[in-house]
Amino acid sequence: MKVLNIVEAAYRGTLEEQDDTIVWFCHAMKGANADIDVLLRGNAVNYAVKAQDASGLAFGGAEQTQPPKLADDLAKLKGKSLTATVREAVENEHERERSKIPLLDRINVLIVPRANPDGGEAFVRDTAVRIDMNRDHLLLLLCQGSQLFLQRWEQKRLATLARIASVDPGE
Amino acid sequence: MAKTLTFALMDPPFENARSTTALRLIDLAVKGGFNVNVFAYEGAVYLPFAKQAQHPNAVHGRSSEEENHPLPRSWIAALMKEAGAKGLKLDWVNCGLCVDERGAAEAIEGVRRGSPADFWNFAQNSVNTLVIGTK
Repeated sequence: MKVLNIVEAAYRGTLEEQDDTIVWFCHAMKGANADIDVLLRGNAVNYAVKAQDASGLAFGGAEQTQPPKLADDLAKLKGKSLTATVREAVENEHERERSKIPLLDRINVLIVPRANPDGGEAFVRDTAVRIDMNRDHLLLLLCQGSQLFLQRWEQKRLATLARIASVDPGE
Repeated sequence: MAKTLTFALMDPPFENARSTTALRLIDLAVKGGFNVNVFAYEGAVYLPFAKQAQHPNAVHGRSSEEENHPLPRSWIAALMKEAGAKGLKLDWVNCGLCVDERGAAEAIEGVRRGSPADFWNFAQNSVNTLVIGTK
């Protein structure tokens, strides 16, 4: 049986337990010959960051001598044939770094004030090629009105754009 | 005369970072010269549970002594001792009904049994009160 263990609630009691309890559980199950992989999601991707230092916790004369070393624990999992763990974590970390880039720096926003100038001129819904844009924008089977406009405007540039979303303010 | 701060805690030990954070705040309050009241509600009554025990950890490859597993009861005892050394008091009250429900009656020395009325009195006689609720 193959098991995928997903960890996404990070730093739950890691100071008191001196590890992540689910990562620890995976170690123990691997010791029982479980065929298990781990996927780190959400805040748990931070477990792969090496520079974490949880040392120094002390209350009065009670000092913690074995603080959690989460990245080391992950590395040990990797040594137990759980390579997916760290790879997924790093990929997610890259995605998180990417998400810090302002949205408008990553996408092109094209605003077409009148997507159907021919229909507007004739005061009809159809375009010049007899397509009712109001019935086509969800299906996207035919050339969208805005694309039609853009094709006329800049054919080559349009080909480089990947459409993420179409918005019809009329709906 | 030292001023007093009150904390209400709800989370059990070993399950999230809020318990440790609360103890950090209490530690800073004591270091800052405040008397501290704690009202432990729901799972938090297990924070000073006397039977918390250290254990070896095979995954870490360490004996019980090497692992030196943290025990919140020891942290709380250390905080009480620290407060006492400064001429301050850490007054810890466990909700009695919560204790009964959970069989958590065996608490460390210095912890007493109480009710929400104690929390009300704590709050009325403190310069500020912080409730760290559970989620």
